[in-house]
Amino acid sequence: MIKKNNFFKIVIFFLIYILLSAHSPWGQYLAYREQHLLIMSTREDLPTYPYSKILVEVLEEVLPEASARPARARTFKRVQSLFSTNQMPLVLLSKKNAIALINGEGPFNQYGSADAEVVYFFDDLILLAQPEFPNRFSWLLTEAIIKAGPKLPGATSPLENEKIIKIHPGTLMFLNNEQIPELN
Amino acid sequence: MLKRVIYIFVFTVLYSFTATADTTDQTWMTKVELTKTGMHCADDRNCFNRYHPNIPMAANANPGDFIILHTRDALDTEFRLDSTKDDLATVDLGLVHPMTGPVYINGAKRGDAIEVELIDIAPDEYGYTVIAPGFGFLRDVFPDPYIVNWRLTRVGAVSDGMPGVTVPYEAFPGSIGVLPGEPEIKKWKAREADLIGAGGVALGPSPGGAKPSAVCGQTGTHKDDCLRTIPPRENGGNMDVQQQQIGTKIIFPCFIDGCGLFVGDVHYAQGDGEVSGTAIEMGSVVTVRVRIKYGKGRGMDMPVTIGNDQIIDMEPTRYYQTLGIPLKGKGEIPPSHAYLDSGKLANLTNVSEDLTVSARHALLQMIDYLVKEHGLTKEQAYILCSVAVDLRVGQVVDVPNFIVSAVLNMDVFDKYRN
Repeated sequence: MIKKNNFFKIVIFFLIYILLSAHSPWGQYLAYREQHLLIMSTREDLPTYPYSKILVEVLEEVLPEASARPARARTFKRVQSLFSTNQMPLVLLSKKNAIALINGEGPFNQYGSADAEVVYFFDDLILLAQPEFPNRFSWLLTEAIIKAGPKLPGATSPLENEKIIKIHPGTLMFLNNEQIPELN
Repeated sequence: MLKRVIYIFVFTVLYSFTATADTTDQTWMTKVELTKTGMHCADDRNCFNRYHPNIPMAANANPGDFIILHTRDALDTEFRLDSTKDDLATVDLGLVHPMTGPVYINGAKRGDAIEVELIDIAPDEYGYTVIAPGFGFLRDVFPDPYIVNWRLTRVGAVSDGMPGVTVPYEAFPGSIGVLPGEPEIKKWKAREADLIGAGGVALGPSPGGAKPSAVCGQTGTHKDDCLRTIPPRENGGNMDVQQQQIGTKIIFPCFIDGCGLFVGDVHYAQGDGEVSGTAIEMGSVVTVRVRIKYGKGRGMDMPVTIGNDQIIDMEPTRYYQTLGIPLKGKGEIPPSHAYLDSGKLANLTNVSEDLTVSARHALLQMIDYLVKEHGLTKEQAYILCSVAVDLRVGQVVDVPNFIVSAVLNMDVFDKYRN
């Protein structure tokens, strides 16, 4: 279990991070997005929502202080707008759609590209983070995923996968046995 | 042979006469119709979601024309019958509220008023009610998302998420109004900025998701002056007044030439208070007719509604009523009062002459009643209050305890109806 103190800090930092980076103007609504680590999925990429629920369930167990919740967008268009504007800094997509999001092609070609980095692989699914997602959070999230072990089917380190997408620096730091970084 | 030909001819003529004698052939209305294009407001030239006088008119209409407006739901969402609370977190609040219009009313000038008669509202087949995190009257009590999906007909709204309940059809436009002029933009923006400065709940102009983007978007010509649609103001807008039913007339002051009439955010049904923050939200087709009242806009503070028996038709035939007085817990500060930063308030358990705290008291009792006596969950009870419970002022004289009551139309329960 990750130290509770660390996660109390995470929640505080995440709060500040979202407040600073949020694009949505409806301040009151942000309360929910401030209080929970939201894992975005989409109806248009079928396996993503069921797996996001597994991921959330595991994170609730391993990392309860993160208060993770699934967040399902109906369309790729909404995924692109929420992710690219930092309203939702984490998204789970299948490999081909993850690449399409980064390149602004395929289902995303009408909406533009979005910078994204890998946190972890789950067979054909990839958990992507906004490049601005703090290294500290990514480090802790990676630690939690690895601790969950077989509870997350198909979880494989980005170091063991083909280097199709840049690895998030926080994840890389954890995988390289580096110390948990300060909030960047 | 000739006889036979004549018979066939006569028969054919008579038959064709009966075929064209249908009443559908008789028309007399002059119609101006604003339809929807694309999935969202962003794809639709008849849709906008901010207020500014430079927003281009989508259509022109003469007084007396039947103006038919195809409207979108309040959140411009992609919800559907199988939506869950997990879908709620991905709502883009920059898109609130998509309005259909604006319509230039020929002959109307700044300083005039227009009387808008609500002729008809045709509902979509689907509607939703949500608890939006951080929003709503009891946002401190209900911090998590929740959704009820409704199947709609003009007989009633039913939902798998609210078994045993049928909400009667009492549709009205949650938002209806006219565009502000330059002086109004300046004045309203300034007063809301003052409120934001004091810690109040108000939103400044926010170009993210704004439509039309050329005027109000990130690179729009007036992005810092396009007002959000959330608060009702002197131009009407998001009034959420359920008595503005079909058959009533709403009079608006005109702030620009042509007035710029719009409609959106139509509600299938709503309780007075709309306490969870949403009613039964739906897209619809709204028909209105407009009359100009020349020079009558100058003396108006706010829009007014004129009705006949619509208000009586909405009354419940049986009801349960809870009563609230301004009581609260020691140390508790309701979210509505937080910006006052009052230490005095925190220590009191009885507040003086405060309708908001009274309303909260009445509503919390109603939720308890629905949970204990009708087996609803707390979230279902809160949602039902939002769509079928009316908060009403009892009295504002018996100091310090002004009364607000919460009135539940018991006919929403199937067990009490045929």
